[in-house]
Parts: sequence; structure tokens; C-alpha cells
Amino acid sequence: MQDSHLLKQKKMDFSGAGINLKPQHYEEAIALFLQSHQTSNEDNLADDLWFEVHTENYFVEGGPRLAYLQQIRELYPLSFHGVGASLGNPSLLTQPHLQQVAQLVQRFEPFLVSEHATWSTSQNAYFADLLPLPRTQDALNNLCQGIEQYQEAIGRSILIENPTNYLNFVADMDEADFLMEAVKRTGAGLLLDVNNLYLSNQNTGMDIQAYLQALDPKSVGEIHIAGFAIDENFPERLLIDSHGAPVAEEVWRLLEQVLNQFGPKPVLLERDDNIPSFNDLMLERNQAQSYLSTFATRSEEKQTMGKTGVGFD
Amino acid sequence: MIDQNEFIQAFSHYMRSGDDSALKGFLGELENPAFLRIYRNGFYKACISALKANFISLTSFLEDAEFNQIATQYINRYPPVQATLVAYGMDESLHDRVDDCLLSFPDFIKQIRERSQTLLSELLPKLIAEPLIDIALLDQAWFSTLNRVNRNVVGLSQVQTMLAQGQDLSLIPFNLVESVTLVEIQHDLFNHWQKLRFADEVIELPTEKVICHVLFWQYQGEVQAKLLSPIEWHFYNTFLESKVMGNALEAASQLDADFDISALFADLLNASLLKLED
Repeated sequence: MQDSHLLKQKKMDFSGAGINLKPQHYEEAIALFLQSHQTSNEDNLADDLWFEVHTENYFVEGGPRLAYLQQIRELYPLSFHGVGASLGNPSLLTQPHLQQVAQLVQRFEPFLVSEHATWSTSQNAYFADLLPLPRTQDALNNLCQGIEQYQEAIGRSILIENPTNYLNFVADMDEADFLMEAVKRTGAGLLLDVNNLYLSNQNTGMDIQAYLQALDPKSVGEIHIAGFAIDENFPERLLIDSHGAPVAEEVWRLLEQVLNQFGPKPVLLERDDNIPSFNDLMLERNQAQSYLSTFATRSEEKQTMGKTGVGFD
Repeated sequence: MIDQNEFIQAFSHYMRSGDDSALKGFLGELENPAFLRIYRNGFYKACISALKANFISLTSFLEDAEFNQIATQYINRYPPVQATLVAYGMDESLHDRVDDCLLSFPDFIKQIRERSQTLLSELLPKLIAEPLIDIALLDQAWFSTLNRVNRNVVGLSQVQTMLAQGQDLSLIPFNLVESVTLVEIQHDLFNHWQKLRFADEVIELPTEKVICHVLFWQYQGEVQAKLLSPIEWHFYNTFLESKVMGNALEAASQLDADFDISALFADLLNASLLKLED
């Protein structure tokens, strides 16, 4: 692995905008890096670009998928995003699953590792979707146990992602409190998906402002943005987390607010369906990067002013 | 007080059956249970998408609705058991199975074809009329070969060095590389499968029964495939089963006394099909 990129991986305050990487874009991602580094352009497109992959898609022994990931990892910062651990139902979190994640983490040294505050596995089936947890003390204990098992297996802390809510299930606590308590007990961080937050607001009336107020800004380690679909049968009431469309204007506005409130964080553009060209994704990703650059500059100004005794207000 | 186990059981029952009666008690008073289908739809969509990715030629051959119909039946009967869809529907995804009754997607097609010919002939005429199982088996072999790793591959120059050092090759523990997969199909459709797989060319498949054998292996990161002659099949099959090249050569020589061992050995080396056992 190249030294310069090892350094980049270890820089934990890194806050560029990334894309979740799909196999059809491997070659273009590699070519972009090579092109960008052949020129001495100051606005290098590959700078601050990073990629995230679904960890379970790399549960293979060998072959081109792993070989491409190795190449990507040597050029860009990489993040692993798990979708199958079923942290909310830890009695079924298997050792083979954890071992495979641990092997991948050890080999690729991702700068972030994340999973979902959901469940997906029951006795005889993996449901391949992110299913909701009842927000109770019992469920909180189980989620914390799942996070701890996962963290112990891979030897490092993870981020947990807030789910998309389509319905209100009977609950003892708010989602933000539920997640913050899990973060506090386990030492994990939070992956704040602002598209999920927007959809939860639209689908279930979850109060976005109260939610954001309840979060500890220091716990937020990554932000996801994505596009959604409008349900055909309930177009006025139900939005689906499809990852199959460009990011909606409302979600961009929410991202802006979150960055303003929490400061610059790594932002990931998710796209899993109706996947456009790499160039189109880069254009959308660059919009997120421009937001980040703006807020990073403001943060630096705030810090400088603080040091010289000049404050806002 | 909500019991999480009850919640998960009720949710699992809904996901498997579509019956939301046990889950309604966990919903807020004003909630619309019809929204639950978002989760169930997501599950089926992800599984169908994985089966399409894993059985590419089969997907090309069948109409979308036909593929979805048979895939849905498979998911209902055999949902994924591993928390990854990378090899869903394939033999290798069943290695850790606790339930011996689990079937791969090709075996499932075979089973329903054998058990319910009348019903299927009405629903899916292609399933009855065409050798879909062979297409599915070739897809499966291609995909599982792709994701394997060959270790300790022996090259021609290495063997030349051994010979120069005076080593007796019959004593060297050669074996076939890990990615080697042999497939037996019931119709002579290997070339048809290649057109479906690589050119997305929809063609009429042969229906006449002719047993054929295909060798798959990985060479420089790409999958190679070759239709085998009966004697080659005998050689590779014996080699895979016995893991001893001498046995395989002997088996092939018994079929044909003029079998050219040297030519075959050179072919094996040139194609990177041999490895040295640790």
C-alpha cells in the first residue's frame, strides 16, 4: 500500500465527499485518480474523494471484485458500510459473519466502518432489508450487545446509522435518544443519514429539529445523502428510501443545516438503483463537496476569530 | 411492555407470509398497516436482483415476468440464510447450511420441473420446453469460478527447472487449481450459453438430450471455459475426485490407449490449471 494513502486513511478528521462504489464504476474511479495526478491542477477532482462499499458484497474468496477494491484502496480513502449484521438481533450475529468483516477490515484498513441500528435476520432467513426495532429498553440492550460484539470482532469502533421510518411502532423513547444512548454505552459513533431523517419526518411526523438538537455533534462521524421515491399507492404520504434518484432539494437543504450545526463531516452520496454514469454521480458528489468546502472555510474562520477574541453574534 | 422477541417473530412471520395480523398490535393507533409492504417489497426486490446478477444468462433467456415468477417461488421456499446476497441461489451459499433440505436455484428449477409439469407448462412454458437447468448450472459454475483464488500455480518454466534438476515428475504432488469446476449438462448448448452470457443474444436452445461436460477455471483473473471430450472429462473428473494426477492419467489411458499424456500435461501447464500441493 502506498505511504501517502496510508497517511490519508489514518487522518480521522478527513471530511471530503464520497460516493458508494459500484462495480460498473471501478475502472472510471481508477482512471480519474490517474488523470488527476498527471496534471498539476489545483482543483483536483480526486482530492477529498473517497468511496464506500457495502461490506457484505466483498464476502468472496477472491476474483476481480476484491482485486479492484485493492486498487481503489491504494488510490482513495475507503469506508465499509455493513448492511447484514442485524445488530438489533445479536443472538443471531454469527461468528463467520464477524470473521469475514474482521478479515476485510484488517486487509483494507477502511477509515470508517459502519452498520445499521436495525435487524434483518431471524431464525431461518436473512430478510435483506433494514427492519425497524421497537425503541424499548430491551431493544436498546440488544442493540448495544450487537454493536459491542461487532466492535470487539473487528477491534475498532463503528458508526451506526439511523433507519428510515415508514410507520410508528409502539416505543418507549424517541429515536434520537435511543441512538444516543446506544452510542454512549458502546463507544460507537453515529452515521447520520439525512435522507432517512427527512423521510422519517415525512412518513411518520418525526420532528427533525428536536432530533438534531438531541444529537451530540461530536458523535456524528459521517453523513449520508441519497434520493428517494414516491410510493405509487400513497403518493401524498409515503416516501421510499430507494437510493434510485438524485438527491432531492429538501435533502440538500437539510444537509446544509446539518453541516452548519455539526461542522464538516465526511459526506457520502448513496446510489444503489437506476445508477447513472460515473460522471453524473461525480457532478452530484461535487455539489456535496462544495457545501463541505464552504462550511470548512467558515469553521476555520470561526476558530481563528475565537483565538483572536473576535466572536460572532 | 413490548417483548422484542415477540416483535421480531411477528415481523418475521409477516415477511415470510404477508400476514400482518400479529404485527398490528405493535403499530401506533393511527398507522396504516399497508405501509408494511415497503419492507417486504424491499426484501423480494433485493433477492430477485441478486438472483438476476448471479444467473445472468438465465435472466437474458427468460422474460422479466417469467424470471420474477420463478425467483419469487424460490425466495418463498428458500430465503437467503447467509447475511449476504453475493452467492444467493448457488450451491456455495449453502455450505454452512443447518438444513440439508436447502436447494440451490438450479436444483430448485429441476425439482419444480419434475414435480409440477402440468401446472408449470401453463405458467412457464419455457421451463418445460427448454433446458433451463443447464443454463442455470453453467451460470452458477461461471460465477463461483470467478470468485475463487488459485494458489501455488505451477508454470511451464517451473516444471522445466524441476526436470533440469532431475526431479521425477511422477513424484511431484500436482493437483488441479482451486478454481476448477466441472459441469455436466444434458443438452449440447455450451455455445448457446456463451452467446446468451456474453452477447445477450436470445436464441432457441436445443431440446435434444446430449450429455456434455464443461470445464471452468480462472486464468489471470478471468474465467475460462472449455467443452470437454469424453476422455478429457474422464481425466478431469478422476483428478478432482482422487486428487492424484497419476490416477487421472491412468483412467484416461484406459479409455484410449493412444491418449497423448505429454500433450495434455503441456495444455494443463499452459492454461495454469495445475498447482503444487503444500
